[in-house]
Formats: sequence, structure tokens, C-alpha cells
Amino acid sequence: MSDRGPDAVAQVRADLVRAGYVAAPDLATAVHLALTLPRPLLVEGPAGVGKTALAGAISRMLGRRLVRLQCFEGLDSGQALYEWDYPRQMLALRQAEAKGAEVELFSERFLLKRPLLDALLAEDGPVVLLIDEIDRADEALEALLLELLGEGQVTIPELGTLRAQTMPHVVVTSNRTRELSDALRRRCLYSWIDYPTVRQETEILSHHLPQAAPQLTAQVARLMAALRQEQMEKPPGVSEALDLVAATQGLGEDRLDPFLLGRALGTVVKSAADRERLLGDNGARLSAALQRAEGEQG
Amino acid sequence: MTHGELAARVRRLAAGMRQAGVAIGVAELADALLASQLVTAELEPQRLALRATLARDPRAQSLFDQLFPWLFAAGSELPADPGAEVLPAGQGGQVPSQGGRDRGEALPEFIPAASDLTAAGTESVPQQEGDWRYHAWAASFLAWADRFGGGRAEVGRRLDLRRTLRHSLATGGDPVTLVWKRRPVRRQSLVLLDASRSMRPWAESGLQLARAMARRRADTEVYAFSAQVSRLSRRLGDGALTLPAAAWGSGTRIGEAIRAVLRGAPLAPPRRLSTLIVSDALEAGSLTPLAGALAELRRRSAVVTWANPLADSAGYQALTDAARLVVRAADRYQGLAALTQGPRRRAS
Repeated sequence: MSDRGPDAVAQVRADLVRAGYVAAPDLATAVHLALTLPRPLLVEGPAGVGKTALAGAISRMLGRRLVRLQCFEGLDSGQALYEWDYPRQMLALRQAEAKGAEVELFSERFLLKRPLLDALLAEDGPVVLLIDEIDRADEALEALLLELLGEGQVTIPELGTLRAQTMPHVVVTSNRTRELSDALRRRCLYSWIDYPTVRQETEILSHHLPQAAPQLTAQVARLMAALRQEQMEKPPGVSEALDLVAATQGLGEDRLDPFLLGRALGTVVKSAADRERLLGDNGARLSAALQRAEGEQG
Repeated sequence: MTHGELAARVRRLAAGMRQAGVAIGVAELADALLASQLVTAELEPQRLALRATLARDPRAQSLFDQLFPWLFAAGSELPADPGAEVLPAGQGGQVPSQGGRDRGEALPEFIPAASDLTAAGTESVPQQEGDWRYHAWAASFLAWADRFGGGRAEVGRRLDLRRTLRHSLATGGDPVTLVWKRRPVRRQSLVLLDASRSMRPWAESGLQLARAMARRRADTEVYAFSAQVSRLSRRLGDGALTLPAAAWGSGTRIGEAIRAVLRGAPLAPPRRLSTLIVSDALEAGSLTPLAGALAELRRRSAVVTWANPLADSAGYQALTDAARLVVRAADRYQGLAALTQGPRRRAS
């Protein structure tokens, strides 16, 4: 294996940073292995920690096209893999009838490539295929993916088996709203992305918003850590932290205070129950979280 | 460490994880050995590489993190029963700590040691007069009510309008073939049994009801909670199974237990759960986590049934704050005997 350089993982981590993504060592290791072995990478973790963003960063890092399949309940092979172009088939059939000729209706000519097939048969080299929130899809879609993830091929009954020209780099994300099958897990490398530490989050915020004051990014990172200790229905993720820093800057401030935080709370709190919880008792919990963030600074 | 030694240790690690119930196949083992060649030979890169390849869910990661030092840092052999050593009896089901993270990554089924239900410290719950037929009837009633009694989400066969319209393209726009959603909406049963001391007189009845529900529906998930949460789903066939005993004074934090199950258990997607909780709703923790957990439970469930044995008493009123919260959150709130002995009462 040629990639066993002393800095292979560090190099991947640095490349990801250049692509706008700050990865923890375990995630950088998983990405390095997924690209080198190569294997699909299954990423799980709470909402808003950067699972989807990882695929975008890998795409930018490799300079490859990103093909995204957003999963939802009821997603089927017609939307995920391929579909026959019925209108064109009918037109071709009528033309053939007029000429008294025959036409092969089930050929690649009439095949509409959906994201999975598009990624598999990409002619512009290996693409990065993001299968996002697979836990939202039905189990049938998982079964459909097994052949693609395991063998890099798909079978279309009318055409036969289509093999990947170049195996795409696959990132599968899940929020764990349901358990994925063992068969799918076994075909993937695995990484859990947790909420970042204060230090990591400060680094992420500074990286994405370099014009923000350092004390503001550090303060927001500590505040996020404090808020995640509150048992909120929807704990704030990294994207909420970015929004809060941007909002504070937009309001012309470089430091949070209770009043300002109250005005910008919509960037962090995304449910009425959480809002009520934080602002109840004259905002006691919110003030306490902010004080904890201030205290940790000291 | 030579490559041969490394391979031997990885194999022993995989064997230990298999012994603790993690499925590791030859392909994963091959991936792990390849991965170990792709990173530097220091311990931490090796650990991260092996972890990404051998541990493919949070539970397996948790186990890996505790087994790895045995074989790689200390270089010693694995204990005879890795699962039991990882979770010593004294811990009795505490979630293995991972840097203080509170994200439910260690599934409740992993929480108890393999023998926790029969080990020392577990005492038999007094047997209440149990009649299997009545519990089976109650399970049937709940399934029937689940199927026809509505709840807050639809069940059964659903027309797939979008796919019907798309298929109609093949027939000149006429929707000749109606396309139905692939699988009818099917709910998963979740049973939570309160194993606190105050619930001991009704523990056996709750367990029987859980068994009856598991017989009706194979994917029923059953958990017992007191100070800890234990997964019972795969042990219900054991006739000697009893609920794990709660320690004196430990208190039952119902809200935290519900949240632990919802975050860690392999459960159906939102609105597909049919949840039954057998508990007296005597919350030892504060109300805020309970309110949050009940709200989350309600979002995840199509229907929440709360069977409170205290509600069987004449003149019972939900006066405590916790009970009021529960009454508001539950779609059905009734006594345990009223649920399990309905036909007998009517017969008499």
C-alpha cells in the first residue's frame, strides 16, 4: 500500500481544512481509509454536526463532482436509480410503426439516469456520491443499495448488470431515527461525528468566519457547549453556531450579552418548547448558560 | 510489533467483539488488516483505523474502545467473557462513559451485563396471580385499538399518488394502474416497564403483558427501567426472567429513562411507534426532563398508552405534577388491571 506515509491521515486532515472542513482525527482517519481501500463511509451523528458538509468537503478536496441523493420515505428505484423514459419510448414506437420498423424499447437510449446510476456511470471520473439521511428511506432502498455499495454495480432487469466505470466515493449519512441493517453497515466504514469540543468549534467558526472577532467565536463556542447541556429538544449544531456568530456581526457587535442573545435567539433555538424553556423565568436558563460560558473563559 | 503479531491481535480483538455479540465477518477483518497498513504504526492511528473498520455502530464502538487497550496497550489477553468484564456486575448497567458524551450511543441492550438479570443483586419479584389469557387479550386489544382506533398517524395501505401519476405516463396519461405504497404503514410496539420498588407488586403482570405483545408482533421492543435501563426484547423467551431489582433510594427517573431508550434503541421512524408504558408515574427526578422526554415520546409515537396500576384504585386522581404531565402526554391513560383484566371483570 503506497499511502502508508507518516502523514497520510494528517495530509487528509489538512486537505479537508483547505476544503473548508475541520475534521477530528478519527474522522480524518475514516476518510483516509474510505478513499484508499476504497469503501463507502457511513457517517452517523446528531443533526447539525457536519455529516452532509463532509461529502461536500471531500468533493472539493478531490476536485470531483458531487452527486447527491436526498432520501425520504417512499423513495424508490425510479427516483434513486433509473427510470424508463416513457414519453420517448411512445414517440419512438409511433415513429417505428409509421416506418413499419421495430424498435428496442429497453435500451440505454431510453434510460433516465437517476443519482445512483449517474454516479455509477459517470464518464468524468469517480464522483463523490452522497446518500443523505438514509434512515429516512424505506428498508427496500437499503436492499437496493447493497449491490451498488458492495460490488459497484447495479442490475437492471431489462438490460442486465451495469458495472461502475470508476467506483464513486460514497458517503452515507444517517441521523439514527431508525436502525440501519447489518448488511448495509458491513459494506461501509463507520464514523460517528459528535458535537465538537469547544476548541474544535472555535476553530471551525474561525475558519468559516475569519472576519469574526476571536473573542466572539470563542464565546459562542462555549455558549454552544453550555446550551447542549440543557436538555433541549433540538440542541444547536455547528450550523447554528455559525449563524449566531454571523448574526452578532450583522448586528454590529463583537461580543454577546443577554440582550443581544435574546434578539438573535432564533438562530440557535428552533422550537417553541426550547424557546420557552430558555426564556422562561425571565430567561434564567439562557442567562445561566451565558454566564457559564463567561465563567469557563475565566 | 510485527505484522504477524498485529494480525494475531486484531483477530483476537475481533473474536472478543464477536463473543460480546458484535457481528464481525471475514470481510471486516480483512478491511481491518488492510487499514492497519494504511496508517502509521503508532498506537493511536492504529486504534482509529481499526475502530473505523471493525466497529460499525455506536454500540460496537463503545465495546471496541474498552477492549482495545486490553490487547494493544497492555498487550494482555482478553478476559474470558469480554462483555461481562466491560460491564462488571458492580456497574450493573451504567452506560459506559465516552468522555462524558450524552448522546445515547451505547444502546440500552448493551447496558446490562449478560447475566445481569440473574446475577447477585437481582432479586425475584413477587409473583402476582397472572393469567396468560388475560394478558394475551390485553395485547390483542392494544393491537386492535392500534389498527382501528386511530392514534395520531395513519395506518394501513396508502395510495402512492406521485408514482401512480408517473406510471400513467406509460398509458397515455390514464391512471390505469393504481400504485400503492410498497409496504403498509406498520407500527412497532415499544413496551417500557417500570422496575422501581414501588412497582414490584405489578412487575410480573407487566412482564407477562410485554411477553404477550411480543408474541403478537415480532419487532416489539421491551425495556425495563429503574435507575438504569435494560433491554429485555431478546430475553422474553426465558421463563425465569425477572425484572432487575432497583436499589433502595435510587429513585426512578422516568424522563431520563424514556429519553435513553428513544435515543439509543433501534426504533421505528417517527410516528410509527405504538408505545405502552407500565408505570406508576412516580418520578424521582425533576419535571423538566420528564416533560421533554414525554414530548419526544409523543412525537415519535403514533399512540402512547400508559398503564398505571395506581389508577385501578377507587377514587384515584392524578394529582402529582408528574402524573398530570403523563395524563396530558398519553393518548390512553388507564389502570393496569383495567387493561389486563377487562374480560374477567366483565365476566364477573
